[in-house]
Amino acid sequence: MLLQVKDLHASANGTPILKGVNLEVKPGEVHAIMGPNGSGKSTFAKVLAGHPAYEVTSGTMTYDGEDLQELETDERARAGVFLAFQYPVEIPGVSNSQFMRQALNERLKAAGKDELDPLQFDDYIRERVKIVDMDPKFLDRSVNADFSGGEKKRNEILQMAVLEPKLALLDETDSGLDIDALRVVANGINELSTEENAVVLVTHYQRILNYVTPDYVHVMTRGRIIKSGGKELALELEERGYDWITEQEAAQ
Amino acid sequence: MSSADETMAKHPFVARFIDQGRARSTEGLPQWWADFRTSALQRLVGLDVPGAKDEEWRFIRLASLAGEEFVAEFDADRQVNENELSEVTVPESAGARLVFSNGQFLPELSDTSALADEVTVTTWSQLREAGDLDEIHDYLDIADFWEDDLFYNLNGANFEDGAVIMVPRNEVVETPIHIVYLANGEGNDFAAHPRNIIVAGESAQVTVIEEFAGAGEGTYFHNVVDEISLGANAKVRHIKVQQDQTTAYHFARNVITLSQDSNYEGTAVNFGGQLSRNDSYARFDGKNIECTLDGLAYVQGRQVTDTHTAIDHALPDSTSYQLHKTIVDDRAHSVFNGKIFVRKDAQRIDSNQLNQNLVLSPRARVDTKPQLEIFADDVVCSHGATVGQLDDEQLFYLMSRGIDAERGQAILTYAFAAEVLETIGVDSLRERLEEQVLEVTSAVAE
Repeated sequence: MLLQVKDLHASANGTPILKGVNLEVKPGEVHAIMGPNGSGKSTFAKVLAGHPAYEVTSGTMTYDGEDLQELETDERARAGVFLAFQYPVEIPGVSNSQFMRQALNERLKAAGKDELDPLQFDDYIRERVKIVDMDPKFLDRSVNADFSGGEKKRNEILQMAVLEPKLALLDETDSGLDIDALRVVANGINELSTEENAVVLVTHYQRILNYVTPDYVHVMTRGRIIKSGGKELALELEERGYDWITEQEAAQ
Repeated sequence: MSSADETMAKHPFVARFIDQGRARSTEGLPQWWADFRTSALQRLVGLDVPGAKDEEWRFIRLASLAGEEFVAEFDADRQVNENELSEVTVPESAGARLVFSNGQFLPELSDTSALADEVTVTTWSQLREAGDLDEIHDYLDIADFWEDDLFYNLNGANFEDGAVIMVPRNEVVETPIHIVYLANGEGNDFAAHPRNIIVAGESAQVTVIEEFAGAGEGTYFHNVVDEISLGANAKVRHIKVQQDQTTAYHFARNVITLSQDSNYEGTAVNFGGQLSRNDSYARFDGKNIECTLDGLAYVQGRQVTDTHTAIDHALPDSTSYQLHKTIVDDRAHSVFNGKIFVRKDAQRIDSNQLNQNLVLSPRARVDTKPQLEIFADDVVCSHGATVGQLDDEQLFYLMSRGIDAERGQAILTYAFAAEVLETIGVDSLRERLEEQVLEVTSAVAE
């Protein structure tokens, strides 16, 4: 088991948002977590990554045999957890490629591997940018600064390609993308999926699932996963919306 | 002679400098210089050390400075620590360097061989020795902005040395000229009053790096005046780097006068001094002038840094830019006051001013006071000031990529400073300063 979440509760500023989430992810799997706005699905991704705005009040998160709560955000990242941000942060003054080299070297160092010098990294990154069809000029610019929405999302997937995480949490990476950008991002995700890693795709829209085929689809509302199924569940949601599930749940 | 003078001066601190000024040799001094010294001495008699009630000084305290008893620089040992000099070497300025130690020129460590004969790069002391001072007479005391300022007059009464750079008409100096002021303050509590003259003739172009450096812990006082005159269509790039010892005092008055179509770009980096004050006054004497006064101050411990600038748009059709950033850590304190005057007939002025302050510690203090005085109606003036801490979302982003909190804070502090440092076109100097910010922030991050 790569990730095992049991009865996870979390709150922000004292307001409960996650109210008992259960999820199991094995290597090689792609999971989609869908749900209406405000369901807690983005919060779930951020809590897994260790965002300081959220407090875990009860439950457990076990990643690769380790209790995630014992690890700081940076330690989780070095252990192979990756969060693609819904709103990637702009950091003017920090070069995109230097940032990624430092991040990669932290990960390599933690794994006991040799770090890459600037020239080695340059060769490596020039291969990786092809996965997201990105102009290498973005490497020399400041991190996400003055990038368009689509460029920011590509840059997130590029970082995933550079860091090769074991568990990728993609927080609405598809939102706001035009169809061309969506295809590029989806192809990147597919190309990076292996038998050893897993992807948890948090999304509001079914559309990306036409390009990335999930093994499991989960529906989250009001801070809990209330229904899980195969990829056909996404199609059903597309046709019928979320109301029938929430009604079903309320009836129980 | 001193007892009578001390009773004349309002403060012993001032009296001491009156004495030192009067004790200075007049040998080889042309009449105009002797007259200038005399008038500064006369003004000093009426001046006191400014206090909190003085608007220009209200955010800082001068009591510790006024309590010091500095010896005149000529009584200080001027031995140079070669390591110190190698640390501030700028390879791009090879053959274009003037070195001073404890305020006194060191010809043996200076080298101007890379510069064309037409360009004058020398010092007051050398010109005095050669009896060749008269050509700089016109470039002394070029504006009356600081006529009644204590520190301007302390310098006027006491200066004997400093760089003299004169670039004649149409001459373009490609090699950046590096002026280095070293200090070996320990056991040498000296006061030095460097006066640097930079003159760019019509369509001339020059880059000047003015750097103050000192290692160790000396309580000394650099009291600098720079007078920078730009002829029509001239371009001067002036990079000032102040890294005096954190036990020292550094005060500077930079006077800039600009003729039509000229362009001055100033970047002032202030990292050193227990108390530093770097003030600039730019007067626009023509149309179509561009003037940039950027700054970066980074203070820690109990350092205090204060920057006051005044941009005086007296005539129409000019532009001024100003980006001043400060980083304050521990119990340090930074002050910024940026005045922009747009006189009645100075139409079509475009003036931008931004002061951003990054506060790294809850006990650090920032005072900022933008000050616009606009008397013309057809102008575009923007100004703003921000005071903030490191951005939590940016830090989380870095950490989510495996970078630890300490390193993340250093990177973000560096990024804040980078916007100003990026404007420094001399690569080795820019890289040295960027390295330094990264090292310092890593060292202090919790």
